[in-house]
Amino acid sequence: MSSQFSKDRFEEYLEKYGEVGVVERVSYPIVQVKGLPTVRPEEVVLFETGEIGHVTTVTPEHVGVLTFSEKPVKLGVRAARTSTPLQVPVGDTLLGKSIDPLGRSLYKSKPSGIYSDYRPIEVLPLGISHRAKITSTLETGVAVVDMMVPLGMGQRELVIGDRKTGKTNFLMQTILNQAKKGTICIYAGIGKKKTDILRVEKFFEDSGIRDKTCIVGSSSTDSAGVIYLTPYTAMTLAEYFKDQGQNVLVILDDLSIHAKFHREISLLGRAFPGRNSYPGDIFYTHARLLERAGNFKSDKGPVSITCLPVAETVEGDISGYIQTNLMSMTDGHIFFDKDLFTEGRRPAVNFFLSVTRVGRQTQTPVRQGLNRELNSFLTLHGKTQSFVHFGAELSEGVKTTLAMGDRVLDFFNQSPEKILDMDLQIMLFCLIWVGTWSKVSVEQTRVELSQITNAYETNTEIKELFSEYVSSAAEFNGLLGRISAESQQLLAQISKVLDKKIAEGPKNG
Amino acid sequence: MKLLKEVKTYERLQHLMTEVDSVNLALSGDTSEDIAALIEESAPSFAPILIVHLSNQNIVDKESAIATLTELTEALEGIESLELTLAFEPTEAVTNTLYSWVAENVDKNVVLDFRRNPSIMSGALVSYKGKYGDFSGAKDLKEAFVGLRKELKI
Repeated sequence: MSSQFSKDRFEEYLEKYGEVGVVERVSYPIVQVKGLPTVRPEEVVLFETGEIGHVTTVTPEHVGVLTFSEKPVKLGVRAARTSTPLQVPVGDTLLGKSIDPLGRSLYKSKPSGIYSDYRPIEVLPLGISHRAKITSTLETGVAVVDMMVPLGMGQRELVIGDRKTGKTNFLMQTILNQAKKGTICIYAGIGKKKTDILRVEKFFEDSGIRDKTCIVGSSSTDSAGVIYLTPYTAMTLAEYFKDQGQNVLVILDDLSIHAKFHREISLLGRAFPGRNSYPGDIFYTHARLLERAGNFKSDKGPVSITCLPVAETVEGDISGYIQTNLMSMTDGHIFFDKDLFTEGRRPAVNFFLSVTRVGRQTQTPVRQGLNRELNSFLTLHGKTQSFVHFGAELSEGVKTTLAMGDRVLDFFNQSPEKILDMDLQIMLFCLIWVGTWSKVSVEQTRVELSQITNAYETNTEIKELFSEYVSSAAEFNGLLGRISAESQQLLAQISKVLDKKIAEGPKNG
Repeated sequence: MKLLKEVKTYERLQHLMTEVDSVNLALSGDTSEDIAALIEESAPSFAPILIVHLSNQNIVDKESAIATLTELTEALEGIESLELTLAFEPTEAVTNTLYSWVAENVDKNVVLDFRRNPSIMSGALVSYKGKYGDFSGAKDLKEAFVGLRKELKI
C-alpha cells in the first residue's frame, strides 16, 4: 500500500487519470477538495505531499476526503485520483504480527514485511445463499458462559458492560481457548492506549498462542481516520482466513469508542447530526461491519467468522443508543454486571440479563438439559435469596436450595488465566449437582474441584474417562443418574490417579 | 461580463475583489454623497472600471451602489480559474494572447491562474474544473527518451 501510494507517484496518477483537485478546507481529519470531477466514494486519493485519503462524500462542489496522516494536510495542496479502493495487506505472514489499520507494523523497530496480497476493506457482505446454519459450539472455556449463555461458531455476540468489569479478561480466555483449538483469532483494539495493546500482545506471547493470533491496533493518539478503519481491517483479515478454510474469531474492542470517532468525523464533515449527535448512518456503519461475520458454506464444509464486538456502558445502563443498536444487530449479548463484580463474582456475567439467540441450537441434548436445569434452578435460587432478605424462618428445602446455589455460583467463579474444557465443566457440575460435596464446606469443595481439574489437565486417562461419560450419555438426566450411581467409584479412580502422580512426583524430580 | 475584459488573471481578480470590498465598506460607513470620490479613494486600481460599471446601470444613490457591488462580488466569486503552469513568467503580450484563446475556446468567464515551474522546460501544465493535462516539453522529452531506450535496447 505504501509504495503503491508514495509521493513519487503523484505525477503518474495525475497524468494517468487526468484529474486534479485542490484542498480548499481542512477540518482534520476531513478535508474538502475542489476538483476531481469523476472521483467515486471509497476511492483512495493521493496528495502531492504523500498523504493518502479515502473519499467519503461527493457533492457537485466538493469531495470530502478522510485523511489518515498524523498531521493535517495543508490548504492548497493538490490531490490526484488513484481509481483504487482502500486496501490492506492480507496473508498468513500476518499471524503473530501487530499491525495498524493500514497494514503497517505497530512498531517502527519491527517492519511488517512485504505483502503480495491486498484486499479492499469495504466489501459487500455475502448473501443468504452463501450462509449455513450455525451448528457447532464455540467453546469459550468460561463455565458460566458455556453453560448459561452458549455461543455458536459464526455467532455475533455483543460483550457489554461497564469499564473494569472483566470484559477483556473474558475475551482473552475465549481467545486462549479458541487459539488452542486451532481457530485464528484477530483482536482489534480500537482507539486503545498503547499499553493496553501491549498487554494483550504479552498475554498472547506468554500463553504460546501468538502464531494463531493477529492484533490490529489503533491508539488514542492516532488520527480519527485510522481509528475508524480498525474494525474494518480486522474483518478484512478475518475474511481472508475464512476464505483459506479456517475458522476465525474476531474481537472488536470496542465499538462504542468506534461510534464516538465516527461521530467526530461526521460532524467535522458537516453531516447532519442525529440522536446524541451521532450521524444518521451510524446503524448502517456497524451493521454492514457485523454482517460480514457468520457461518459460511464452502467446498470443505462450513467455515465461520465468529464476532465478539464489545460495547461499554455507563453505570450499567444497557439502554444507550449505540448499545441498543448493537444489541439489535447481534445474535445476543453477554452482560458484565458491575454489582456482581463488586460482590466478588468472577467473571461478573449476569446470565439473567444475557441473551444468546443461536448458541442453544448448537448444544448436544446433554448440554441442553443441563442448561434448562441450571436456568430454572438459578431463577429459583435468585428468588429464594430475595425472600431470605425478609428474615423469614427457613425450611430445610430452602436451606438446601441456598446451599446448592452457593456451590454452583462458586463453581462459576473462575480465575482469568484458567480455561475449562466443556467435558470437564459438565462433569464437575454433575458431581456438584448429585450432592457429592453436600456435606463439606464450599471452600473444601473448591479445593477438591481444583484437584480434579488439575488431574484432568495432566492425565489423559481421566480426560478419556470424562469424555466417555459425556459422549455416551443420551440426555442430561441419564448422565446425572450414572454419575450419581458411580460417583464414589469415579472419585476413587481420580484419587488413585492423583496419588500415583504424587508418588511419581519426587521420582520425576 | 464586460468588466472581465480588464481582469484576465487570477491575481487581478483577487485584487479587484479586495477593492470592491473596500468600496462597499466605504459606502456603508461614509456620510459623503459623492460616490465617485469614494470609489476613487477606496479602489485606486479599479476605480474607472467600477465607476463605468455603476454608471452603465444608472446607479446614483449609495444603497443601489452597495447592492450592485454586492452582486458583483458574488459574480466574481463564481468565476472559474484555469491554472496554467509555464516554464517562464508570462509577459503582458503572452497573457493577452493566452487569455484571448481561452475566452474564445474554453469560456469567457474564466481567468488565468499562472504558476511558474522551470522544470517543465516548455509548453504548459493545464488544470481546469478538476481536469488536468500535461503538455510540457519535459514530458515529450521523457517519452522520447523512453522510445529511444527501447530502440537502442538499453
